[in-house]
Amino acid sequence: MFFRKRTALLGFFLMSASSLPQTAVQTESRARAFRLWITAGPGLFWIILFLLIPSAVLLGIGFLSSNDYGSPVMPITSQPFQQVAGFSMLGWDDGNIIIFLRSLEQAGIATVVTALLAYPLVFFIMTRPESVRPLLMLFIVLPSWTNQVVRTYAWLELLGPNAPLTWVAHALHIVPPDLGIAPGSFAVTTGLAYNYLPYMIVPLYASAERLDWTLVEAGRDLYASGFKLFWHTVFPQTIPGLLSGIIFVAIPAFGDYVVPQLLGGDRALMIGSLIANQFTETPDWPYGAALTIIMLVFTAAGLIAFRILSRRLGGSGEATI
Amino acid sequence: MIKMRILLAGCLLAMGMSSPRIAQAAETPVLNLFIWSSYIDPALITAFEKKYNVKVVETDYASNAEMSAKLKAGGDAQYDVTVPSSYYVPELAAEGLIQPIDHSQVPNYKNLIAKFQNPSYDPGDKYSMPYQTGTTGIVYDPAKIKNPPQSWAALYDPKVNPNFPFVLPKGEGRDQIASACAYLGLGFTCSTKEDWLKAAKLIVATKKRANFAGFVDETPARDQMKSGLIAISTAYNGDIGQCYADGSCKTLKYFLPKEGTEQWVDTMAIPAHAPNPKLALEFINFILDGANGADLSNWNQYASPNQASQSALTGILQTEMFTPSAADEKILYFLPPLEGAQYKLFNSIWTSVLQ
Repeated sequence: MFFRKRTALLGFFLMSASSLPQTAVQTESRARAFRLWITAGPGLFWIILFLLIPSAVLLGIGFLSSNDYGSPVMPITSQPFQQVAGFSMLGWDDGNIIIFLRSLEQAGIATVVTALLAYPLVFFIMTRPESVRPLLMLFIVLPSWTNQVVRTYAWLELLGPNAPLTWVAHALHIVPPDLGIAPGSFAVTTGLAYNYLPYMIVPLYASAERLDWTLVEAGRDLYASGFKLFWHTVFPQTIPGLLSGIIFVAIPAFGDYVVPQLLGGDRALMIGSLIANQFTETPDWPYGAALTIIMLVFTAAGLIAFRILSRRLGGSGEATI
Repeated sequence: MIKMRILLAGCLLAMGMSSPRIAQAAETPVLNLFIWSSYIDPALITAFEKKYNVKVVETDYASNAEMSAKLKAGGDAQYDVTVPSSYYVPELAAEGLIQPIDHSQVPNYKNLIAKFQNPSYDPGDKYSMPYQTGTTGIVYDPAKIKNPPQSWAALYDPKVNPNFPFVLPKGEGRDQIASACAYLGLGFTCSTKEDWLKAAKLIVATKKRANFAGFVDETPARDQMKSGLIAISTAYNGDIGQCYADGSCKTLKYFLPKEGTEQWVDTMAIPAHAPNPKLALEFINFILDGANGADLSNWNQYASPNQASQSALTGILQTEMFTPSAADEKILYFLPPLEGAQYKLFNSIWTSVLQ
């Protein structure tokens, strides 16, 4: 939805900026082609420039050898992909498989926690007067205007050894006396939920706004109440929003490494930091490129699987973006 | 019509005003400086600009790895001077990312302290000249950790610090493996696969301790120390000197571990395809001037490798923390450079530690 709006706006801007000669011979089909270019063109340009070209470059690098300092050189080889499979100078190990599963687990946790938090919040906002709803939504979105690293640092301070929340944890004997809540797995879950909550709330709110309340009333007439009422009347209607929310949260959470690095005590690598390291601290560009390609393949496969799933579950409504 | 004429006149006026400015900008030579953030006194930049009638454009980076990656991605033709750490110089040279320095254009080279001339990481100072230097030690909060031994045991022995959060630096793993080797009695400059693997094992065991709070580089770790998030960490003497000087970390204590530690050097080098290499040489010579070197150190509180600057250093820079005693000199080492297949092997080991 956002995307379509943005392209339309861009198209409008381009049209008003350029003064094209309007000749009488201009045919209807030409005008249609022009409209197509003006609306789809910017998106196409964006995808080619920032997705297809870089991916093609990465694909090329992924099949090159790396020299002693990790730069890509000839000849062509499949070694980077063997490294992805776990073969290194130290022999085979299961490190990469564990990193992959760990990232998957992280994406799962982020998705489940944000969904559980988002439902009550969305219906709280929905039941407020119409005039305050946009304001409440603004409060939800506002924090994501600052950088993720900055926000995560803030959590590091909030959950550190000298913070009030930690004193509570000390009193309850959840955390040993000299340590903070951060770093730890609870801090990671908190950080992930905080970072990705808006991405779950916005699409859920969009589908909740179009909710057909007559179905809920019908449910009430049939003496359904509480959870049953929600499960049979409300939940099915919000599935399209939920599915887009899952896509918006799970994919970036899969590649995220800022949160586990800062709030998790960096005990374990995530797939995102494994890739970043191959271009910086422990350079091996072909290996990093191969990792990226494999990650992109998995992400694309996940998206396709989701599309199929959303068609089955959502009935008429596909995942709305 | 009148409107058109006014518009035309306006355009001409604008052109007349802007064209000499454009011409001037083209004439003023530009020095593109690629340097660690907050690592050069803005007053020194202004002084250099005035003296040579040039403009300096500063671009910052946060790690050697970031700098190296940007040079590889075409930055070697964008910047005139870059400031790699000593152990990165051989790598940049082998990759053809930096060019040899014409010593005849840097007469102030003679000002350097003898131990910083012809160093092991860059024989004959072919590619680099020292910018600033310092030591890597251990900083701790004495209120939490009482009388730790002056040893790497303060970090690696769980009995010394069983409870309080501590961090190890992240970086490229060079300092960590070296310090773990030193603690295990294998020497700070260990360079065989067997020694590295033993050191790696120690670090893996260390990061499993409940009070391990992550891999955090020295400068951010210093800030976490100041806000009480952690109780002990490795640190650069200059970083601690800075917060001693501004009074923000007066209670913290700093020492050099007795098994040996790093004498680090940040150097100045000229990227292979620098747009203005002649000006780069002028800049290097300018920094190596005695008075300028002292200004630089007095501003950022890092030690100066420049003999001619020593007498003009002020405050904490005159203490033993910055001018190591003869006894300290014996435990200070340059990190040995890694070359060829060694480098790849080291990276594989470090990656397996992080996993």
